[in-house]
Amino acid sequence: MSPDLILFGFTSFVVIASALMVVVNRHPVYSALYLVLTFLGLAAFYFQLSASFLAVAQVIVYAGAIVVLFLFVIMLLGANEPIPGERGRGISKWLGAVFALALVLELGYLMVRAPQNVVATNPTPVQVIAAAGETSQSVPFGSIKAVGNTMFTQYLFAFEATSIVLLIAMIGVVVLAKRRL
Amino acid sequence: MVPISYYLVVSAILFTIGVLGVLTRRNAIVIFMCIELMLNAANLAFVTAARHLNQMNGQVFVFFVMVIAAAEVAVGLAIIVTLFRNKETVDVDQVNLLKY
Repeated sequence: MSPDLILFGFTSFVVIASALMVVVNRHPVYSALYLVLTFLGLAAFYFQLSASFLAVAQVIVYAGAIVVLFLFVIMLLGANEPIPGERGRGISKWLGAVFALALVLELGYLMVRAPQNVVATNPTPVQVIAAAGETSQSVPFGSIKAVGNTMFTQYLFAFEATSIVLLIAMIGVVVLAKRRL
Repeated sequence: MVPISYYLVVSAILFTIGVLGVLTRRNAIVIFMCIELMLNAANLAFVTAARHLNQMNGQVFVFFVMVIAAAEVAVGLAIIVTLFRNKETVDVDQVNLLKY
């Protein structure tokens, strides 16, 4: 029982339990709060997987912006009332759970058949170029320098394209939310 | 040391819970939250693969997925707000004007 395994077990319990609470709750506000807990648990996972920049970005973007947007909309629409009859009656209540259990068992079988005990070795440092013409330096794996270097050299076009996507999304939201065009 | 496949199992369970929520719930906002759960499960799989293969590409892709998810949430919630303005409900079973 290494401390890594204990930490992994605890984090996975938090993530899976709060994800279940997101699905099961009758009030959307409680679902949103459990969603925040899920995102924070996932940020802990990213830290364990040597993705420190992504963990912080996850907290800022998902827990700090997306869930806040959800809560704003729930409060704006007054949609916190549970929908009567959403639980389902009889067989339909359990049918979804049965199929989900089947899916999990299939995936679990595939995982068991995979090579066991393949643990990741210590991540090698990433070579980045500080500036044009300079010699490369090595930075830790998953640090913001490593992410930035990969993104702005290999994925530069995708980066510019996502900025256009964000602009389009902003314009779309303003147009959709106007009362009179 | 934790075997890498354990993280993939958690990602699969998270994805299944998201699918369960999308198929079961009637509240449009909760359905949207379960879609975000599915996206995060895929993100976890990406980060796991990046760690296993020792490449930064997986983490950069997660960054792009986060950006697209944020844009998608904004547009989707605007659609839900417009829908609520016209139908006074967020119940997706009531949105059936195109039905026979």
